[in-house]
Amino acid sequence: MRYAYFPGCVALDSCRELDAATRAVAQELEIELVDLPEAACCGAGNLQESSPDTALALNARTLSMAQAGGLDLLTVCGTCQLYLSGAARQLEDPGTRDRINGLLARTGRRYDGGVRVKHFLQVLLQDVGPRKLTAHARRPLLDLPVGAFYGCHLLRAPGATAFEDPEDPKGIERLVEILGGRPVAYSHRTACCGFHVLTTREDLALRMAAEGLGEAKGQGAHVLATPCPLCHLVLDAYQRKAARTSGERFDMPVLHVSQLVGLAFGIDPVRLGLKRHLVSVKPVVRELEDGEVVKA
Amino acid sequence: MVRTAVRPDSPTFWKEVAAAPGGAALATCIQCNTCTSSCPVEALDTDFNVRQFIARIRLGLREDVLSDEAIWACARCYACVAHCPKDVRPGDVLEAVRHIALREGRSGPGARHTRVFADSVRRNGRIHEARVTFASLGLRGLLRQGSLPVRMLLRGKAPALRRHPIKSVAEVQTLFRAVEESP
Repeated sequence: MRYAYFPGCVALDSCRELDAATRAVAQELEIELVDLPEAACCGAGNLQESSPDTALALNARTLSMAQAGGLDLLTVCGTCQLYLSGAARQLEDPGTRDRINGLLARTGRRYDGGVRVKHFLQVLLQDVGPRKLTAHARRPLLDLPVGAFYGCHLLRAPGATAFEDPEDPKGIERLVEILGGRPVAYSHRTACCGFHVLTTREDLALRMAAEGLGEAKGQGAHVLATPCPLCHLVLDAYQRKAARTSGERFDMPVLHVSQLVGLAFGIDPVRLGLKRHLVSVKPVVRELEDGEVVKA
Repeated sequence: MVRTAVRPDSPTFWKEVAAAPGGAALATCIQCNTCTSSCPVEALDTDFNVRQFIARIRLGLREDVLSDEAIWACARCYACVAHCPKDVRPGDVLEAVRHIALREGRSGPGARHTRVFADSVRRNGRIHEARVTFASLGLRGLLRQGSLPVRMLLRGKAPALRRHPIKSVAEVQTLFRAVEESP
Protein backbone atom coordinates (compact mmCIF):
# COMPACT_ATOMS: atom_id res chain seq x y z
CA MET A 1 0.00 0.00 0.00
CA ARG A 2 1.34 3.42 -1.00
CA TYR A 3 -0.16 6.85 -0.51
CA ALA A 4 0.89 10.41 -1.13
CA TYR A 5 0.98 11.69 2.44
CA PHE A 6 -0.49 15.11 3.27
CA PRO A 7 -0.12 15.70 7.03
CA GLY A 8 -1.30 19.33 6.77
CA CYS A 9 0.10 22.30 8.67
CA VAL A 10 -0.93 21.49 12.25
CA ALA A 11 0.35 17.88 12.25
CA LEU A 12 3.74 19.33 11.28
CA ASP A 13 3.67 22.03 13.93
CA SER A 14 1.76 22.07 17.24
CA CYS A 15 0.45 18.49 16.75
CA ARG A 16 3.73 16.91 15.60
CA GLU A 17 2.84 13.86 17.70
CA LEU A 18 0.09 13.06 15.17
CA ASP A 19 2.61 12.91 12.34
CA ALA A 20 4.98 10.77 14.43
CA ALA A 21 2.22 8.34 15.47
CA THR A 22 0.85 8.06 11.93
CA ARG A 23 4.32 7.22 10.57
CA ALA A 24 4.89 4.63 13.31
CA VAL A 25 1.54 2.92 12.65
CA ALA A 26 2.03 3.05 8.88
CA GLN A 27 5.47 1.46 9.23
CA GLU A 28 4.00 -1.34 11.36
CA LEU A 29 1.33 -1.98 8.70
CA GLU A 30 3.86 -1.72 5.85
CA ILE A 31 2.04 1.26 4.37
CA GLU A 32 4.43 3.41 2.40
CA LEU A 33 3.91 7.14 2.92
CA VAL A 34 5.31 9.19 0.07
CA ASP A 35 6.07 12.67 1.42
CA LEU A 36 4.95 15.80 -0.41
CA PRO A 37 7.36 18.36 1.07
CA GLU A 38 6.29 21.02 -1.43
CA ALA A 39 2.54 20.74 -0.86
CA ALA A 40 0.86 23.92 0.40
CA CYS A 41 -1.84 24.47 3.03
CA CYS A 42 -5.37 23.22 2.17
CA GLY A 43 -6.75 26.69 2.93
CA ALA A 44 -8.73 25.50 5.97
CA GLY A 45 -11.77 27.53 4.92
CA ASN A 46 -9.98 30.84 5.50
CA LEU A 47 -8.31 30.98 2.11
CA GLN A 48 -11.49 29.62 0.49
CA GLU A 49 -13.22 32.67 1.97
CA SER A 50 -10.69 35.34 1.05
CA SER A 51 -9.66 33.96 -2.34
CA PRO A 52 -11.61 30.86 -3.43
CA ASP A 53 -9.73 30.38 -6.71
CA THR A 54 -6.32 30.58 -5.02
CA ALA A 55 -7.43 27.92 -2.56
CA LEU A 56 -8.69 25.73 -5.39
CA ALA A 57 -5.47 26.25 -7.39
CA LEU A 58 -3.26 25.38 -4.38
CA ASN A 59 -5.26 22.20 -3.76
CA ALA A 60 -5.15 21.31 -7.48
CA ARG A 61 -1.38 21.72 -7.20
CA THR A 62 -1.28 19.28 -4.26
CA LEU A 63 -3.50 16.81 -6.12
CA SER A 64 -1.23 17.06 -9.17
CA MET A 65 1.69 15.98 -6.96
CA ALA A 66 -0.21 12.84 -5.92
CA GLN A 67 -1.20 12.28 -9.54
CA ALA A 68 2.45 12.46 -10.62
CA GLY A 69 3.15 9.45 -8.41
CA GLY A 70 -0.04 7.66 -9.51
CA LEU A 71 -1.17 7.71 -5.88
CA ASP A 72 -4.21 8.50 -3.77
CA LEU A 73 -3.82 11.28 -1.23
CA LEU A 74 -3.80 10.44 2.48
CA THR A 75 -4.83 13.02 5.11
CA VAL A 76 -4.84 12.87 8.92
CA CYS A 77 -6.96 15.98 9.56
CA GLY A 78 -10.72 16.49 9.27
CA THR A 79 -10.31 19.99 7.86
CA CYS A 80 -7.64 18.96 5.30
CA GLN A 81 -9.92 16.06 4.30
CA LEU A 82 -12.92 18.37 3.80
CA TYR A 83 -11.17 21.03 1.74
CA LEU A 84 -8.96 18.70 -0.32
CA SER A 85 -11.76 16.25 -1.15
CA GLY A 86 -14.00 19.27 -1.85
CA ALA A 87 -11.40 20.59 -4.28
CA ALA A 88 -11.00 17.16 -5.87
CA ARG A 89 -14.74 17.01 -6.47
CA GLN A 90 -14.89 20.54 -7.91
CA LEU A 91 -11.98 19.64 -10.19
CA GLU A 92 -13.85 16.64 -11.63
CA ASP A 93 -15.85 19.24 -13.58
CA PRO A 94 -13.91 19.67 -16.85
CA GLY A 95 -14.72 23.40 -17.13
CA THR A 96 -13.48 24.17 -13.63
CA ARG A 97 -10.40 21.98 -14.15
CA ASP A 98 -9.51 23.77 -17.39
CA ARG A 99 -9.86 27.15 -15.72
CA ILE A 100 -7.67 26.13 -12.76
CA ASN A 101 -5.16 24.41 -15.04
CA GLY A 102 -4.86 27.76 -16.82
CA LEU A 103 -3.53 29.16 -13.54
CA LEU A 104 -1.44 26.08 -12.69
CA ALA A 105 0.27 26.27 -16.09
CA ARG A 106 2.25 29.25 -14.76
CA THR A 107 3.93 26.87 -12.33
CA GLY A 108 4.49 24.17 -14.97
CA ARG A 109 1.97 21.83 -13.31
CA ARG A 110 -1.28 20.28 -14.44
CA TYR A 111 -4.03 18.25 -12.80
CA ASP A 112 -6.03 15.74 -14.86
CA GLY A 113 -8.51 14.65 -12.16
CA GLY A 114 -9.14 11.25 -10.63
CA VAL A 115 -7.03 11.44 -7.45
CA ARG A 116 -8.93 10.13 -4.43
CA VAL A 117 -8.51 11.85 -1.06
CA LYS A 118 -8.73 9.51 1.92
CA HIS A 119 -8.45 10.09 5.64
CA PHE A 120 -6.26 7.65 7.60
CA LEU A 121 -9.34 6.36 9.50
CA GLN A 122 -10.91 5.26 6.23
CA VAL A 123 -7.64 3.70 5.05
CA LEU A 124 -7.36 1.72 8.30
CA LEU A 125 -10.92 0.40 8.12
CA GLN A 126 -11.26 -0.15 4.38
CA ASP A 127 -7.83 -0.63 2.82
CA VAL A 128 -6.06 -2.29 5.75
CA GLY A 129 -9.15 -3.99 7.16
CA PRO A 130 -10.15 -5.55 10.50
CA ARG A 131 -8.23 -8.82 10.08
CA LYS A 132 -4.88 -7.19 9.59
CA LEU A 133 -5.56 -4.66 12.37
CA THR A 134 -6.48 -7.44 14.80
CA ALA A 135 -3.34 -9.37 13.87
CA HIS A 136 -1.18 -6.34 14.70
CA ALA A 137 -2.95 -5.52 17.98
CA ARG A 138 -0.31 -7.06 20.26
CA ARG A 139 -1.57 -5.08 23.21
CA PRO A 140 -5.37 -5.02 22.81
CA LEU A 141 -7.22 -2.24 24.57
CA LEU A 142 -8.68 -4.52 27.31
CA ASP A 143 -12.20 -3.10 27.25
CA LEU A 144 -10.85 0.44 27.68
CA PRO A 145 -13.89 2.76 27.46
CA VAL A 146 -13.10 5.06 24.52
CA GLY A 147 -15.30 7.97 23.45
CA ALA A 148 -15.14 8.86 19.75
CA PHE A 149 -14.94 12.53 18.83
CA TYR A 150 -15.37 12.75 15.06
CA GLY A 151 -15.21 16.46 14.35
CA CYS A 152 -17.52 18.03 11.77
CA HIS A 153 -15.27 18.24 8.77
CA LEU A 154 -14.48 14.56 8.37
CA LEU A 155 -18.23 13.81 8.37
CA ARG A 156 -19.13 16.69 6.06
CA ALA A 157 -16.42 15.96 3.49
CA PRO A 158 -17.70 15.02 0.04
CA GLY A 159 -17.53 11.27 -0.30
CA ALA A 160 -17.90 10.75 3.46
CA THR A 161 -21.39 9.35 2.91
CA ALA A 162 -19.92 6.53 0.85
CA PHE A 163 -17.92 5.58 3.91
CA GLU A 164 -20.33 6.35 6.71
CA ASP A 165 -23.59 7.93 7.81
CA PRO A 166 -22.60 11.47 8.85
CA GLU A 167 -25.54 11.62 11.29
CA ASP A 168 -24.65 8.31 12.93
CA PRO A 169 -21.05 7.45 12.13
CA LYS A 170 -19.59 4.14 13.25
CA GLY A 171 -15.98 4.22 12.04
CA ILE A 172 -14.13 5.11 15.25
CA GLU A 173 -16.38 2.81 17.30
CA ARG A 174 -15.65 -0.05 14.89
CA LEU A 175 -11.94 0.65 15.14
CA VAL A 176 -12.10 0.72 18.95
CA GLU A 177 -13.86 -2.67 18.96
CA ILE A 178 -11.36 -4.18 16.52
CA LEU A 179 -8.55 -3.02 18.82
CA GLY A 180 -10.22 -4.59 21.85
CA GLY A 181 -11.64 -1.46 23.45
CA ARG A 182 -15.20 -0.60 24.43
CA PRO A 183 -16.82 2.31 22.54
CA VAL A 184 -18.73 4.71 24.78
CA ALA A 185 -22.08 5.94 23.47
CA TYR A 186 -22.69 9.68 23.91
CA SER A 187 -24.39 12.26 21.73
CA HIS A 188 -21.59 14.84 21.52
CA ARG A 189 -19.37 12.40 19.62
CA THR A 190 -20.59 14.16 16.44
CA ALA A 191 -20.63 17.65 17.97
CA CYS A 192 -18.55 20.62 16.89
CA CYS A 193 -15.32 21.28 18.86
CA GLY A 194 -15.43 25.00 18.06
CA PHE A 195 -11.86 25.20 16.70
CA HIS A 196 -12.75 27.48 13.81
CA VAL A 197 -13.96 30.22 16.18
CA LEU A 198 -11.15 29.69 18.68
CA THR A 199 -9.27 32.87 17.73
CA THR A 200 -12.33 35.06 17.19
CA ARG A 201 -14.83 33.70 19.75
CA GLU A 202 -12.87 31.66 22.26
CA ASP A 203 -15.84 31.80 24.65
CA LEU A 204 -17.97 29.79 22.22
CA ALA A 205 -15.26 27.24 21.44
CA LEU A 206 -14.59 26.60 25.12
CA ARG A 207 -18.27 26.07 25.90
CA MET A 208 -18.64 23.69 22.93
CA ALA A 209 -15.62 21.71 24.09
CA ALA A 210 -16.84 21.67 27.70
CA GLU A 211 -20.21 20.19 26.70
CA GLY A 212 -18.58 17.36 24.77
CA LEU A 213 -15.97 16.60 27.43
CA GLY A 214 -18.56 16.71 30.21
CA GLU A 215 -20.93 14.32 28.50
CA ALA A 216 -18.16 11.88 27.54
CA LYS A 217 -16.95 11.81 31.13
CA GLY A 218 -20.50 11.37 32.45
CA GLN A 219 -20.98 8.39 30.14
CA GLY A 220 -17.86 6.73 31.49
CA ALA A 221 -15.21 7.41 28.84
CA HIS A 222 -11.63 7.14 30.15
CA VAL A 223 -10.19 8.62 26.99
CA LEU A 224 -11.34 10.28 23.77
CA ALA A 225 -10.09 9.45 20.29
CA THR A 226 -10.26 11.99 17.48
CA PRO A 227 -9.32 11.85 13.79
CA CYS A 228 -8.67 15.61 13.68
CA PRO A 229 -5.72 17.59 15.14
CA LEU A 230 -7.84 20.74 15.34
CA CYS A 231 -10.40 18.99 17.57
CA HIS A 232 -7.41 17.68 19.50
CA LEU A 233 -6.08 21.19 20.14
CA VAL A 234 -9.38 22.37 21.58
CA LEU A 235 -10.15 19.21 23.57
CA ASP A 236 -6.63 18.70 24.94
CA ALA A 237 -4.72 22.00 25.00
CA TYR A 238 -7.77 24.12 25.89
CA GLN A 239 -9.34 21.54 28.20
CA ARG A 240 -8.39 23.31 31.41
CA LYS A 241 -9.79 26.61 30.13
CA ALA A 242 -12.94 24.82 28.94
CA ALA A 243 -13.35 23.23 32.35
CA ARG A 244 -13.22 26.67 33.95
CA THR A 245 -16.24 27.83 31.90
CA SER A 246 -18.40 25.07 33.35
CA GLY A 247 -16.71 24.77 36.75
CA GLU A 248 -15.98 21.07 36.18
CA ARG A 249 -12.82 18.99 36.13
CA PHE A 250 -12.50 16.65 33.19
CA ASP A 251 -9.01 15.10 33.34
CA MET A 252 -9.92 13.53 30.03
CA PRO A 253 -6.95 12.36 27.96
CA VAL A 254 -7.48 12.85 24.24
CA LEU A 255 -5.72 10.61 21.72
CA HIS A 256 -5.29 11.04 18.01
CA VAL A 257 -6.75 7.98 16.24
CA SER A 258 -3.21 7.10 15.08
CA GLN A 259 -2.01 7.09 18.71
CA LEU A 260 -4.86 4.84 19.83
CA VAL A 261 -3.96 2.35 17.10
CA GLY A 262 -0.27 2.67 18.00
CA LEU A 263 -0.97 1.88 21.66
CA ALA A 264 -2.94 -1.24 20.71
CA PHE A 265 -0.08 -2.25 18.41
CA GLY A 266 2.26 -2.04 21.41
CA ILE A 267 4.30 0.82 19.97
CA ASP A 268 6.37 2.72 22.57
CA PRO A 269 4.24 5.61 23.95
CA VAL A 270 7.21 7.98 23.64
CA ARG A 271 7.39 7.25 19.91
CA LEU A 272 3.67 8.03 19.70
CA GLY A 273 4.33 11.46 21.22
CA LEU A 274 2.06 10.87 24.22
CA LYS A 275 4.23 13.19 26.30
CA ARG A 276 3.28 16.16 24.15
CA HIS A 277 -0.29 16.28 25.47
CA LEU A 278 -1.44 18.87 27.99
CA VAL A 279 -3.81 16.43 29.67
CA SER A 280 -1.73 13.49 30.86
CA VAL A 281 -2.29 10.20 29.02
CA LYS A 282 -0.46 8.31 31.78
CA PRO A 283 -3.63 6.95 33.46
CA VAL A 284 -4.63 5.29 30.16
CA VAL A 285 -1.18 3.83 29.53
CA ARG A 286 -1.06 2.56 33.11
CA GLU A 287 -4.51 1.03 32.76
CA LEU A 288 -3.33 -0.89 29.71
CA GLU A 289 -0.01 -1.88 31.28
CA ASP A 290 -1.61 -3.12 34.48
CA GLY A 291 -3.78 -5.34 32.37
CA GLU A 292 -6.88 -4.38 34.22
CA VAL A 293 -9.43 -1.75 33.50
CA VAL A 294 -11.24 -0.15 36.37
CA LYS A 295 -14.83 -0.46 35.21
CA ALA A 296 -16.97 2.59 35.82
CA MET B 1 -30.62 40.94 21.54
CA VAL B 2 -32.97 43.86 20.94
CA ARG B 3 -32.31 45.10 17.44
CA THR B 4 -32.61 48.79 16.78
CA ALA B 5 -34.51 49.69 13.63
CA VAL B 6 -32.38 49.53 10.52
CA ARG B 7 -33.32 50.67 7.05
CA PRO B 8 -32.66 48.77 3.87
CA ASP B 9 -29.76 50.55 2.20
CA SER B 10 -29.28 48.22 -0.74
CA PRO B 11 -32.34 46.48 -2.23
CA THR B 12 -30.06 44.48 -4.57
CA PHE B 13 -27.73 43.24 -1.84
CA TRP B 14 -29.11 39.73 -2.26
CA LYS B 15 -27.96 39.69 -5.87
CA GLU B 16 -24.50 40.74 -4.80
CA VAL B 17 -24.35 37.90 -2.26
CA ALA B 18 -25.80 35.42 -4.78
CA ALA B 19 -23.01 36.34 -7.20
CA ALA B 20 -20.29 35.79 -4.59
CA PRO B 21 -18.79 32.30 -4.20
CA GLY B 22 -21.20 30.13 -2.16
CA GLY B 23 -24.18 32.48 -2.33
CA ALA B 24 -25.87 31.15 -5.47
CA ALA B 25 -28.85 29.35 -3.87
CA LEU B 26 -29.79 32.20 -1.51
CA ALA B 27 -33.06 33.03 -3.28
CA THR B 28 -34.56 29.56 -2.79
CA CYS B 29 -34.60 29.84 1.04
CA ILE B 30 -38.10 29.30 2.50
CA GLN B 31 -37.14 30.56 5.98
CA CYS B 32 -37.99 27.20 7.57
CA ASN B 33 -35.38 27.68 10.33
CA THR B 34 -33.82 24.21 9.97
CA CYS B 35 -30.39 25.85 9.67
CA THR B 36 -30.75 27.79 12.90
CA SER B 37 -32.18 24.76 14.69
CA SER B 38 -29.13 22.68 13.81
CA CYS B 39 -26.57 25.41 14.55
CA PRO B 40 -24.29 24.76 17.58
CA VAL B 41 -23.29 28.43 17.73
CA GLU B 42 -26.88 29.66 17.90
CA ALA B 43 -27.45 27.25 20.76
CA LEU B 44 -24.92 29.28 22.78
CA ASP B 45 -25.35 32.76 21.30
CA THR B 46 -28.72 33.70 19.79
CA ASP B 47 -27.16 36.73 18.06
CA PHE B 48 -25.82 34.28 15.52
CA ASN B 49 -28.97 33.33 13.64
CA VAL B 50 -28.40 31.89 10.18
CA ARG B 51 -32.01 32.11 9.04
CA GLN B 52 -32.22 35.75 10.10
CA PHE B 53 -28.98 36.51 8.28
CA ILE B 54 -30.57 35.25 5.08
CA ALA B 55 -33.70 37.31 5.78
CA ARG B 56 -31.59 40.42 6.46
CA ILE B 57 -29.65 39.92 3.23
CA ARG B 58 -32.89 39.68 1.26
CA LEU B 59 -34.30 42.75 3.00
CA GLY B 60 -31.33 44.68 1.63
CA LEU B 61 -29.75 45.47 5.01
CA ARG B 62 -26.29 45.64 3.50
CA GLU B 63 -24.40 47.71 6.07
CA ASP B 64 -26.23 46.05 8.96
CA VAL B 65 -25.11 42.59 7.81
CA LEU B 66 -21.58 43.39 6.65
CA SER B 67 -20.69 45.33 9.79
CA ASP B 68 -22.14 42.67 12.11
CA GLU B 69 -19.23 40.94 13.87
CA ALA B 70 -21.53 37.92 14.34
CA ILE B 71 -20.92 36.88 10.70
CA TRP B 72 -17.49 35.77 11.93
CA ALA B 73 -18.91 33.58 14.73
CA CYS B 74 -19.74 30.75 12.29
CA ALA B 75 -17.86 27.62 13.42
CA ARG B 76 -17.91 26.21 9.86
CA CYS B 77 -19.43 22.95 11.10
CA TYR B 78 -21.67 22.71 8.00
CA ALA B 79 -24.58 21.25 9.99
CA CYS B 80 -26.89 23.81 8.32
CA VAL B 81 -25.58 22.85 4.88
CA ALA B 82 -26.18 19.16 5.59
CA HIS B 83 -29.71 19.67 6.93
CA CYS B 84 -31.19 22.39 4.71
CA PRO B 85 -34.20 20.89 2.87
CA LYS B 86 -33.85 23.34 -0.02
CA ASP B 87 -30.11 23.00 -0.61
CA VAL B 88 -29.59 26.70 0.09
CA ARG B 89 -26.21 25.90 1.73
CA PRO B 90 -26.77 28.59 4.39
CA GLY B 91 -23.21 28.30 5.74
CA ASP B 92 -21.87 28.95 2.26
CA VAL B 93 -24.16 31.99 1.96
CA LEU B 94 -22.51 33.39 5.08
CA GLU B 95 -19.15 32.54 3.56
CA ALA B 96 -20.16 34.65 0.55
CA VAL B 97 -21.03 37.50 2.93
CA ARG B 98 -17.63 37.23 4.63
CA HIS B 99 -15.97 37.16 1.20
CA ILE B 100 -17.63 40.50 0.39
CA ALA B 101 -16.63 41.90 3.80
CA LEU B 102 -13.00 40.90 3.17
CA ARG B 103 -13.06 42.31 -0.36
CA GLU B 104 -14.23 45.63 1.06
CA GLY B 105 -11.38 45.65 3.55
CA ARG B 106 -13.65 45.48 6.61
CA SER B 107 -11.87 45.29 9.96
CA GLY B 108 -12.53 43.42 13.20
CA PRO B 109 -11.13 40.26 14.80
CA GLY B 110 -12.80 37.84 12.36
CA ALA B 111 -11.65 39.62 9.21
CA ARG B 112 -8.19 40.08 10.71
CA HIS B 113 -7.77 36.37 11.44
CA THR B 114 -8.82 35.35 7.94
CA ARG B 115 -6.41 37.86 6.37
CA VAL B 116 -3.53 36.87 8.63
CA PHE B 117 -4.14 33.23 7.74
CA ALA B 118 -4.16 33.90 3.98
CA ASP B 119 -1.00 36.03 4.29
CA SER B 120 0.75 33.21 6.11
CA VAL B 121 -0.06 30.77 3.30
CA ARG B 122 1.18 33.30 0.77
CA ARG B 123 4.41 33.91 2.63
CA ASN B 124 5.25 30.35 3.65
CA GLY B 125 3.12 28.01 1.57
CA ARG B 126 1.97 26.64 4.90
CA ILE B 127 0.66 28.11 8.10
CA HIS B 128 3.10 29.60 10.53
CA GLU B 129 0.91 28.68 13.51
CA ALA B 130 2.72 30.76 16.13
CA ARG B 131 2.68 33.88 13.99
CA VAL B 132 -0.94 33.42 12.87
CA THR B 133 -2.04 32.97 16.48
CA PHE B 134 -0.06 35.97 17.66
CA ALA B 135 -1.18 38.25 14.84
CA SER B 136 -4.83 37.19 15.20
CA LEU B 137 -5.01 37.60 18.96
CA GLY B 138 -2.69 40.56 19.38
CA LEU B 139 -0.58 41.04 22.50
CA ARG B 140 -3.60 41.62 24.70
CA GLY B 141 -5.34 38.48 23.45
CA LEU B 142 -2.16 36.51 23.98
CA LEU B 143 -1.86 37.74 27.56
CA ARG B 144 -5.46 36.71 28.15
CA GLN B 145 -4.36 33.16 27.36
CA GLY B 146 -2.95 33.06 30.89
CA SER B 147 -0.71 30.08 31.60
CA LEU B 148 -1.66 28.15 28.44
CA PRO B 149 1.31 29.23 26.23
CA VAL B 150 3.72 28.37 29.07
CA ARG B 151 2.09 25.01 29.69
CA MET B 152 2.25 24.25 25.96
CA LEU B 153 5.90 25.27 25.89
CA LEU B 154 6.74 23.00 28.81
CA ARG B 155 5.11 20.04 27.06
CA GLY B 156 6.99 20.72 23.84
CA LYS B 157 3.53 21.39 22.42
CA ALA B 158 4.00 25.02 21.39
CA PRO B 159 4.14 25.72 17.66
CA ALA B 160 7.62 26.53 16.38
CA LEU B 161 8.63 30.19 16.59
CA ARG B 162 10.70 29.88 13.44
CA ARG B 163 9.39 28.04 10.44
CA HIS B 164 10.89 27.94 7.00
CA PRO B 165 8.72 28.47 3.93
CA ILE B 166 8.37 25.49 1.61
CA LYS B 167 11.14 25.51 -1.03
CA SER B 168 8.69 26.12 -3.86
CA VAL B 169 6.90 29.01 -2.15
CA ALA B 170 7.47 31.09 -5.31
CA GLU B 171 4.94 28.80 -7.06
CA VAL B 172 2.40 29.51 -4.34
CA GLN B 173 2.96 33.23 -4.75
CA THR B 174 2.66 32.92 -8.52
CA LEU B 175 -0.79 31.35 -8.04
CA PHE B 176 -1.90 34.10 -5.63
CA ARG B 177 -0.82 36.70 -8.20
CA ALA B 178 -2.36 34.82 -11.10
CA VAL B 179 -5.77 34.85 -9.39
CA GLU B 180 -5.46 38.54 -8.51
CA GLU B 181 -4.58 39.39 -12.10
CA SER B 182 -7.31 37.26 -13.68
CA PRO B 183 -10.51 39.15 -14.57
